[in-house]
Amino acid sequence: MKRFAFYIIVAAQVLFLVGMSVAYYAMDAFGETIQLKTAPIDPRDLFYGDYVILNYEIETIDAGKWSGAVPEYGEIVYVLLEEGENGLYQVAAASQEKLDPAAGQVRLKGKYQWHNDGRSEHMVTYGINRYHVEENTGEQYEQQRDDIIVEVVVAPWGQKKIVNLKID
Amino acid sequence: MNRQQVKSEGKKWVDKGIIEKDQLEEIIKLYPNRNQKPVLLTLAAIFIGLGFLSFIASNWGAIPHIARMAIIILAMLGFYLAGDHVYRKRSEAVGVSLLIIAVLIFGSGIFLTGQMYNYTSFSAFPFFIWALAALLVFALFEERTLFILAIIIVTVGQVYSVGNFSEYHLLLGLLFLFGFGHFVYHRADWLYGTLFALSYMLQALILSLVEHESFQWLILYLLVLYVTGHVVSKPGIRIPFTKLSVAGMFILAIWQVFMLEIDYFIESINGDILFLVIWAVLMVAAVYLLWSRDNLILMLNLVLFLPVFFLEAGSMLVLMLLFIYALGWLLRGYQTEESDLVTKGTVAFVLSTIVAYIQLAWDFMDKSLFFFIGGILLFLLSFFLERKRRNLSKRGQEI
Repeated sequence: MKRFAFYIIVAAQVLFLVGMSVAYYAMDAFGETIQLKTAPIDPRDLFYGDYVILNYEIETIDAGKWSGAVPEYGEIVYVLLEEGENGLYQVAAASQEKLDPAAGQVRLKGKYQWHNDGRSEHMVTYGINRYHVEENTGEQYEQQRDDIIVEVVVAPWGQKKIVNLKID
Repeated sequence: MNRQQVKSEGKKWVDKGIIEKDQLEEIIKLYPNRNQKPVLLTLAAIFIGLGFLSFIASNWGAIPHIARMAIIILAMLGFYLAGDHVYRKRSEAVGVSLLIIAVLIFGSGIFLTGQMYNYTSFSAFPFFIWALAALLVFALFEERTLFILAIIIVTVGQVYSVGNFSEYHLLLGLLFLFGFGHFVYHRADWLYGTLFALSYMLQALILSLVEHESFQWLILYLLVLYVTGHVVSKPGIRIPFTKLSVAGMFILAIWQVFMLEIDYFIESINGDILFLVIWAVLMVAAVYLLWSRDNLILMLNLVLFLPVFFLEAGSMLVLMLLFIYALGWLLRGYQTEESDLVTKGTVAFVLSTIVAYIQLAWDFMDKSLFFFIGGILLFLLSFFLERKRRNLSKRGQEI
């Protein structure tokens, strides 16, 4: 019995790691690719060793696009995106409710950050602010920091990943 | 055959009725236990694991994704299976070391995979999975080292959650309370009890700061730990739970003495009725437990838990509580002639005196004079208390 339990526990761990990997490749098959514009960021150094820090325009949401109550810091929020000019995706609506996407819209899950009272904007994060790159290739992104377009795949089950950084 | 093989073979002989159980024990005694160095072996195993990891890490970029996954999974499988095999057949200490490496590979595997695939993470959920795996492995082998590993993972996970996401991770908390709590309760091992209490106190601090945003809840969490210790009353749990909660409360009281002098801090305290109700319930339970066991002298510990911070001049009142606690144990020690209690009282008294001195004299005294007089006071105090204590232990020896 104990032997059996041991093999089950080890197998479950193997499955978990394999699952993480499989889900990643499955996203390519079932997910939808969207393009996001990055926003300028505060830290002087964009590039930290083996990853780049990315901020997005869609992380700042006008108060007019928000529906329902204003969440607390760290609460889960849902944001609908739709394709704008140049094929870049922009915020259509945001709420704490699980909004239903209309045709051509994509829903992202994010975390509420804070409210900018002066400019009546809501700040949200989607957890895609780090992109790991090959060592010693970060310089090119560093120089073009304001003109990066990020390609993100969003899976139907809510997972998302950065697939590519494009420099204009 | 070595000791381990004799043990496992011998069990079969006993089961079949060929030999008696005490005969088997006699036979096992003929095979000396040669694994006296589990610490060294564990260190050796950790070093090999680290070397392996850093070698892979330095060449990581050049390896394709699929191959990386294969390396992680095969390494983990290899260490698990080898660890299990060695544990049963050869040496428990070496087997446990291999299992530790396997658990570490699983954890780093989660994070390496996440990094490789640019996974997004909103919480300490990866730590939950890792801690769960570590706890299950411990549950199978019941080795203390595996418990230490698992409780470190669950604690670090909670610290990680606060550091990165400013939240207390509920799932990790539940795993700690019920998963780890289960083994702490049933094994009633002093090591498990101590580690559990320490981790609990750290997590209580995190909860008070991040979720309640107020220190007063920490008093409740410590009181819960104290009461739990008395309710369970198995020594392996009672002693670490009560001693550590009182020690924690002593430190918290010292902290209060200084903080309750600051205006904006006092303003942030609110007379939450829920807090008072829970506090009263716990306090009644504690007093009842002590009374029913005829151990009312331990009420001296409860003095520290009094929520006097609500009142005016809270700082002075907390200071008084510290002195009541210290003098109480000192007197009790002299009365019963137990030198342990006298030592405890002495240490508490000296600390309280230092706190009182800093609190009262720091502001209006020249700094050099402050240290000078403080030093003389402490010297006199320690001379007096030490002489009393020596008299006591001498008398104890004569009897």
